Formats: sequence, structure tokens, C-alpha cells
Amino acid sequence: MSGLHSQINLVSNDSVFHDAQAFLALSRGRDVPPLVRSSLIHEATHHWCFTSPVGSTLSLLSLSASRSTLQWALDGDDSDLDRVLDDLLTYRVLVEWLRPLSEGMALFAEFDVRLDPTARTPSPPVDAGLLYLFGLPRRLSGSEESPTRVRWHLTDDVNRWRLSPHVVSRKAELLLQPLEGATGHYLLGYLAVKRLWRRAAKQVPELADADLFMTYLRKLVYADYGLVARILDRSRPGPSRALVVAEYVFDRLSHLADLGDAAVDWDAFHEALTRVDNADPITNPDRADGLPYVLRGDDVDDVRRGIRLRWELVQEVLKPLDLPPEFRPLLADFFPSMLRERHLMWLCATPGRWVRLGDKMGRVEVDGEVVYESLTLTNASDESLQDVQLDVYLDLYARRTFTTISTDRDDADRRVRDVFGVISLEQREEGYFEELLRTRLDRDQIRRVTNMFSTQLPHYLDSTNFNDVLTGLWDRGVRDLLDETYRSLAFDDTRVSGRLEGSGLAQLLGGSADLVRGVAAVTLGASAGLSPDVVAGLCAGQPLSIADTLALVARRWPWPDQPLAAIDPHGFLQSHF
Amino acid sequence: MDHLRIEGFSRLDALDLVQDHPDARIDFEEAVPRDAEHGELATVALVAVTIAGLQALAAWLLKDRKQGHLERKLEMITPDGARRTETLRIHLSESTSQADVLRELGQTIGVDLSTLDAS
Repeated sequence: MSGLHSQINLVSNDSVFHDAQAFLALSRGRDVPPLVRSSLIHEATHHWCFTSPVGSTLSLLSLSASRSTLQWALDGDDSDLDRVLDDLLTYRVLVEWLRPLSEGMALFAEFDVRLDPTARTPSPPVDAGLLYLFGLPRRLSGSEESPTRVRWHLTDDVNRWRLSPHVVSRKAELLLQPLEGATGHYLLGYLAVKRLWRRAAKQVPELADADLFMTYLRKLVYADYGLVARILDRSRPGPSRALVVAEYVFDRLSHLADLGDAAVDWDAFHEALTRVDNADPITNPDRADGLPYVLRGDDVDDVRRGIRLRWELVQEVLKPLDLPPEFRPLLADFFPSMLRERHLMWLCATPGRWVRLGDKMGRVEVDGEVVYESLTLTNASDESLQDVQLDVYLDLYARRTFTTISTDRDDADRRVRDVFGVISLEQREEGYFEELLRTRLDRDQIRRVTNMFSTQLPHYLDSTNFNDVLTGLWDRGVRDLLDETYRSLAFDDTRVSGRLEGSGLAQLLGGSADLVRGVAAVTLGASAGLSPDVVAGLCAGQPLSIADTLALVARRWPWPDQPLAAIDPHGFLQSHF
Repeated sequence: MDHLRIEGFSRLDALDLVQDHPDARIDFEEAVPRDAEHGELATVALVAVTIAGLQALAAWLLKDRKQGHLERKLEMITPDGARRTETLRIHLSESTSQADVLRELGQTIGVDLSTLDAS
């Protein structure tokens, strides 16, 4: 992984952040610095989508294949080769089919979703943003002002951040991406999500709320057990299963474009979002979801079938492996650990020092600064305890952060991580920490084994015709179909997409970096519902004024009905981008 | 022609720099996402190793002047596809000039600047 940008792995839900050390602030009860806000919202949105029925199903498919390749490597047993290849083909096609949607939603969360503390059921990324990026609890508890005024100040701060040079540059960079090629899914996916939002909002006014729309979109696709049933329909060979799944995803997305007079029971919808906490993550892997949400017209039997098939896949993945002794320490509990921890978002780690104050009592220091003043060990010994590691986690769904304290010890010929403490500065909830300490919480193990599987799998596949079949599928039209699907979702007019191909907006805007920045600022202001004057004030340091930006775009952009950067009839900024 | 591969050099950066360095040739690598990996937009620039290209790169590195000590990995790619990685280490201050950075770049990648094409 590059160290210069943040990433998350769909299978393990393991996240790695650039500037990760900024998250240490959470272990000290402080807000996270502004420079990582965009990254956290982006990756939290991915995490939320991957902690879903569809996300977990894809993860389980990959883990099931990994299990089989491991068994094959150990004892030559390839009896389930055909099943594994079919599963993997479906997995690979669907991961790529959903990639533009996945990145589109993460970017939509970064740039367009408002952080509204009055929302009835804020999405987990928004909730985390309010709690840990903008310090909502601290603002409310520490202020003599009314909650309404506190919210106004919060909104001002969020807008100031959204129109900051850092975020404007990020948006500008997105707008400069090509629509095709290896990175084409970013801009194409983002524009598809934005257009689906506009069309949905026209038909159902409640969906003008970008966060509610994003939650609805996620429920429609990622939390759809009907899609799970199709992914796990092993009666179909891989190629036809993959195509059925791709077509089904398109139909689900098209539903948003054609809501018509469909009335949404919002009470039922919000009730379906109510999460179940403190349940066993293995029997209840949907920590990010409440009840399965069934759209009017959906087949309830389909949903039941999806739930059943996924449960059977969980059992398959958890079947004990017959491992030789040298593999047992690393792998024996890997699969249950992975499933138990997949809903936790790891943020960062740092070395620390245990300073003994008494029998099983001590403090923890990081770089000479006291992080935890006085800790008492209840179930562990502090004999020869000195060097420790602190790992900071965010549980997006239980709305809390916590820090684990661990040491390394030698076990035979390998180092083992022992977590002996969990600390949270938030109110202790009955059973939460006890459940955590039943998990391994060894991030190194998860990474090592995940990397091992991803290295091993190609060797397994090279001895089959899998790569030829997958390449053939893409080359014989599936790649073109994917591209056409998202273009049809992203654009009202193919003339616009045609002109944007190649260099994105750069060519249309005369290669002017200042103008691209100005356009980015206008698009961000439009999503925040701001007027030109307000955005001009927030972007006073930019080389090109908002007024000049609007004037230049009016001369260069030939499609006023698909505004790039304009003013609407009510005097507010307007953009489809 | 040799190219320098640099992570974190964005298309917006290239647009900024091309105004002052129109002869610099900067392309972008098509980084294929790996299977399960998802995340932020990552940009990797390929800068042609010419005087104009290195001057543009020096100007870009100087944007981080307030950072003080700068350490940056540079991957040199030759026309036959051979690659080697070098690490540029330079202390930046208010008085650091673009010529200073250019000289350090040349030394780091082992190139005699006087032998390079202008563009």
C-alpha cells in the first residue's frame, strides 16, 4: 500500500490511514485534527458499506476461497475447485461492478453530505464526524449557548472546513480525473451517485437530505439480502451468476431513478436502521444494520433465502481446518477472529511505556507524555511489563472509540501480541469490553494472514483457466457494459460525457488550475446550500474569485441545463458536479 | 527517455506547474486497484527527466518548504523498463532556492544536469 493515501481492505475491513498518528488524539479525548477529516469520512463510508450483508458476503466468499486454497496447499485436496472458481469469479466481477458505486458514495460523503446533528438517524460516517471530528458533545456540554446556537456554530465550522483549501483541492483533483481507465471509477461513480440523488430528491422530497439518501442507497444495494441470495446462488456457474448479479445491481440502482409515486414508509425505514449492539458478531454480523429492509415489490422469500445462504457460508468459513502444528498459532483462530473484529475500524498504533506505580498499577506514557494516569490490571500481571503498544479503534456502530494496550511475547519461534487492557474515555457499557477482550485484536495477525492469502491465491489460480475465463468475460463486453451502465447513471446527456473523456474538466476549463479550484469551491458551496457571497467570503484566499469563476464557466460550459458552476433562480449556487 | 515516478503528485499540481514550466512532460500512471483494496484517490506522476521536468519537480517539492526536512522516494524508470529507487533528502527553508533543489535532485538520481535535454 502506498503510504500517501488511506485505504481499506474489503475482506478484512482493515484500514490504513496516511497521517494515522493524528488519531492518537482520540485516546486523549481530543478532537481529531482537520487534516484527516476527509480521509476518515471517506474510509468510514467504505467501512459502513463493507459491514453490510453484501459486504460481509463478499468478504466471506473470499475467505472461503482462501480456506480452500490453504487446504489444497496443505494436503493437495482440490475437490471443491469448481465451486471455489465459480465463487471467485462472482466475487471478482461484483467487486469491480460495485467499485464505482463504492467510491462514489465515499466521495459523496466527503463532499456533499451535511453533518446535521438534528438528523433523525444519522449515518455512521456522519455520526462519527459529528462526535470525533467536530466535537459535538464537547460543544454541547461546554457551552452556555442554546443548543440551536451551538448547532449554528457547528454548521459554520463544517462549512469553513468544506471550503478550506485542502478540501477544495481534493474536490478539484476529483474533477480532473478521466472518466475511463484505471481511475475512471472515481469521477464516474461520484457523478452517478450525485445524479441518482438529484433524481430521487425530485420524486421524494425527504431524499433531498444527502445523508438520508446515502443511507437509503446503501440499504438498497449493500443491505439487500436479495442481492446476497443471487451472489450465493451456487446452482449457477460463475460466469452466468456474475452477469445475473451485475444486472440485478443495475436494476436496484435504476429503482432510484424511477421512484415515481412510490411512497416510502419513513417510520419503518428508520426503525429498520436501529442497530443491535452487544450481539455476537458471528451470529449477528450486521452490526451496521438493524432489520433487513424490504422494498415494496421485493420478494420476501428472496430475502429469507439470502439470510439463510449467508449463514451457511459463515458456517463453512468457520469449519475447523486440519492444520499442521507449525501453522496453528497463526491460523487456528484466524477466521473466527476476523469475523468477530470486522466491524471495528482500526485507526492507528503507537509504542508506549508502562510505568509501574504499585502492584498491578501503573500509568501509560507515549513519547514521555502521560496518556493514562492510573490503571489497575485486573486479569493480567505487570511483572517485567515495560514496552507496550497502544492501538486506537473506532466502533462506528456502537458510537465509541477505545484503545487497546498490548505487549509482545515470545511463543516458540514467533512473537505473539497479547492485549491485556481496553480503555475508553466514554461511558462504560455493560458487557462491551468483556466482549472485546474475547477477541484477539491482533491487527498484525490479520494483516499477515490476509497478505499470505492474497499471495497464495494467484498460485492456486495459475494452475486453472480462471484468469482466462475472467479476462474473457471482461473483454467480451462486460467491461463495456459496466462503463455504459455507470455513464447512463451519471449523465443526462452523452454529449457531456463525451467531452469530459480524456482529461476530465481540464481541457474544457482551458487548463487553468485556478479556474478548476474555483469550480470545485462552487460545487462544494452548492452542496452546502450556500450563496455566492458566503462562499466568496470563505474562499477569500483563492486566486480566482467566485464571481470570476462563475463568469468564466458561463462562457466555457455549453450545457446550462446541466450546470457545472452556476446560480439557481433563488440566488444559491448550483452544480451537478 | 528516463522518467521519475512520484507518488502524491496530483493532476492539480501538474496544472499549476505547467503554467510556469510549459515544456515539462508530466503524465499519470494508471494505478489499477488491487482486488479488495478501496480508498482515496491516489495519484502517481511520471515526470520526464529533462531540465524542464526536473525544474517543475523542484518547484513542486518547494511547496513543502515549511516542512523543514523533506524526504521523498523517487523511482527512476529507464526506457527499457529498469527501475531503481532513490531517496531525496533535503532541508528546506525560506532561503532554499529552486536551483538548490534542482541540484539535489540531480545528485540523488545520479544525473548530470548539463547533459539533459531542455524538454
